[in-house]
Amino acid sequence: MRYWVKGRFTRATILGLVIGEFFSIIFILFGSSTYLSFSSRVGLSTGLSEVALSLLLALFLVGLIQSGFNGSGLPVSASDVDYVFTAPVPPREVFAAKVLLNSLTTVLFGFPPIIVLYLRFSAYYHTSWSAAVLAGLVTLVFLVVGLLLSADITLSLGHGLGERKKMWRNLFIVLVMVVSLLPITLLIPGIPAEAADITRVLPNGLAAAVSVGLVTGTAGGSLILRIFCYCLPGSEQS
Amino acid sequence: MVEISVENLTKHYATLVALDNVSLKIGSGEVFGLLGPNGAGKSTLLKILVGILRPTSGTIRVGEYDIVADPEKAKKLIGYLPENPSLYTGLTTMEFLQFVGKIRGVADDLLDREISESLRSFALEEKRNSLVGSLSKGMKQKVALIATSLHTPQVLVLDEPLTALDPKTRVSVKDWIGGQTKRGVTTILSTHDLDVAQTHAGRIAIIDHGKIVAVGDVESLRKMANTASDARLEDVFLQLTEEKGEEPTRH
Repeated sequence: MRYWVKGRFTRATILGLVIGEFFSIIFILFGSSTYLSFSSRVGLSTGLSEVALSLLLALFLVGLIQSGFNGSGLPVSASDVDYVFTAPVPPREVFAAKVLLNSLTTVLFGFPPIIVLYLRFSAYYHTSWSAAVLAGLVTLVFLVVGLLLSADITLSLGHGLGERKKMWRNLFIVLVMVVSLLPITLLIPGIPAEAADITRVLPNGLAAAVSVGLVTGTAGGSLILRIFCYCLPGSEQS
Repeated sequence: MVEISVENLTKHYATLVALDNVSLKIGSGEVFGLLGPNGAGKSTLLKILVGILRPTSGTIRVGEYDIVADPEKAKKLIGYLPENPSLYTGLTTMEFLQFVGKIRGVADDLLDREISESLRSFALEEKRNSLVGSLSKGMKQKVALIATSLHTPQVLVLDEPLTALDPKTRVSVKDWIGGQTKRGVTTILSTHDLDVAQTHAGRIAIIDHGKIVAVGDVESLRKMANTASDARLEDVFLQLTEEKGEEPTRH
């Protein structure tokens, strides 16, 4: 596994990723500060932050599903084809290792910008740093689940799935994509408040509601944080 | 040693028939040449044999193992040299060979010894800590050859082993092929180089537009092509592929 990781992450790649991380953190700090400053001046509610995050996560999900259909949900290099898939290793183990590697990469490089964003929000709303960390973990879980879905789509495209089953599967995935974008309707003026409740049961809506709730210290977010702290080992003492 | 049996093998890519009901038997320890024009289906056949592609229908057995039903057991027996091998350029020569050896189940103590001996025999010792990406084409081909035989396979599948190599490297590779065939390893050699095919292969199959046009030793191929008894293999090849020339089968 270590050779596989080293072969994939050359020095140039790592340098590019680190520079990209640095600039994305700077951008997020700048963007979030601007947004918070603007929202406090015009009195925007936290609900809008929730909608914005929900839409952002929906776009990620749509992008991941699309990449799954493009075959890049589980990228396989020519070197992998020549040397790994010709080796006496079960393909299931190879794919599991690739999915694990992709997920770990996402967590490693996704966590810093996400946590910076939530720490910025949590500083603004005077909530604890642990709430920000938990919100970051919730968002990461959502992204990793999206990665797994993308990998699954790519794998099933190459598999001998029947045409009829593929059609139903594709329809289901399109439905997931359409439903994920429902939060857009919340931007329509005069939309009933019940629509917000509906979007919160969607995966991206739920992830956004929990994350924003945690960093803004709303009642739901505080409850989740309390439950999480209660479940930690040694929490009976506190 | 190991026999290879190909029965009624067909491979479709959408409407294109890349392989059309191909059947072959390659005996244990035999060196079998596979000739054909570009796009004939040689690489497709070899990729199915080594488990990269799945056939649309038909079977390939390596020894007693079906490559589709028992891929891991079949792959243990095979050493594969791809056409234009894609090596992991971010690894050093040593790291790459250790990676290939480990995923092919070579024991650690044996692996280090094998790698050292192989690097010495190919005069690549001073490149052991160089990144694979920095090696010349000829050096990369030698590294790929070493990787092919680290696990002492009983079957060698060599896809165009001499393509785009300088003359000195071609000699090294030809010597290596000769050494392997002397060990009695069952070898399938796909090549455009008719001299190599004629020198090393006992029997040759000519494939064109996904079909086997002719199979046999050079003498029987000359008779099939109705050429003189001293006709060059090149003339035999051209005669047979022109006779059978037809548009690719599409459904």
